[in-house]
Amino acid sequence: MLHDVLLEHVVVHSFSDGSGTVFFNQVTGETLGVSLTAQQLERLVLNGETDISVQAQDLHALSRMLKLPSQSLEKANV
Amino acid sequence: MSSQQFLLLPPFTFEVRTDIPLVADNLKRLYGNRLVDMVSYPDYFVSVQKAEGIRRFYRPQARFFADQQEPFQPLQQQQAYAMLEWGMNWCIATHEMQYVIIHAAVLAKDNKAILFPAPPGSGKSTLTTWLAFHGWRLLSDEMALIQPHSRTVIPFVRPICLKNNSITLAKQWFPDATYSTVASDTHKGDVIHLSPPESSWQHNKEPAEIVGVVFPNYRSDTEMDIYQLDKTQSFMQLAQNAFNYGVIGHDGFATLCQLIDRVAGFEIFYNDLALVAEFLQQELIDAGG
Repeated sequence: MLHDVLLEHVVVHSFSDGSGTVFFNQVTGETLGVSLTAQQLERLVLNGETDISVQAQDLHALSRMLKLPSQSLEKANV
Repeated sequence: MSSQQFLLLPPFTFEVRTDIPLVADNLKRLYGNRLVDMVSYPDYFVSVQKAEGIRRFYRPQARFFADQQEPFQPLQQQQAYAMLEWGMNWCIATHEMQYVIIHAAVLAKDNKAILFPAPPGSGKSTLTTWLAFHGWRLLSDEMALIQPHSRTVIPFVRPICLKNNSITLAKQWFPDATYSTVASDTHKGDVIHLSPPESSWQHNKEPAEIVGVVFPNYRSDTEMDIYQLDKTQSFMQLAQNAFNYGVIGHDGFATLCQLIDRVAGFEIFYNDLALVAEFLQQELIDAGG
């Protein structure tokens, strides 16, 4: 599950229209929105699937919301 | 001679002290019977006072205080009334954490409210003025106070802040409305405050349910372009206009997520206010809620 790899203080919400997912770090106040559904994010983050397109800056920001090292995400999306 | 009066501005009350006649005169003119002589427990104690020192002889200044704090640098005395209005905004934006506060105008019809979040220069206050004087109820020109985990927005009715060209427009459209004196050469340019219609004042304790979020962009060369935003776009734009959402944490985030999931979001580019009103009525008021 996506929640398992989020940093402790990060909360997440996927929108009902399937347009994307937003993350909020309750400690830093940082907010991130990506145009990926929860299912796509799970495939990207947990399974390392490579057919999911994410902008580099979003990937970098996303890595700050996760327990995973940023390299593992970037490798997944190469 | 210093005056001490109280402003009843639900859901808050302010004690206002000033020794500047311009401030006292504008308060009386714009707030009318919302300005009273006695209140048991004001929420905020604010004052606008003449600055002391040699400068008062050649370029008189005013200072704003909220309790013991002085959040702003002194301004020219002719800008003192605008400074008071901005100071009251500052009090709410920095202290009221029981609401999720968005930098947005809020207008309603039939208790169905639309948020208009926008940065300065987007034409938000001009649009607000036009709608408020064409049958819409003004809940706020500056900040939306949203009850956490709900779509309920609490009115905080205050004068509308108009800048530069919008001052001329408003005075052409509504010559009989009540305006403050002009504060010229502020960091926003020339600024004036406009008292909303009496009907908005009279309903200043009635919450409304948010049915839509519209991000306005005035464009002199565009009659009306409308773009429906997806929910992720709407959320990100709304979050950028939130005053305290980062501070109140999870409740703020959850409130905005729930709100965006339930209502439609649009970005509009316009120069025809009547067309905007027609769109809002048909797409959000008649269809919403």
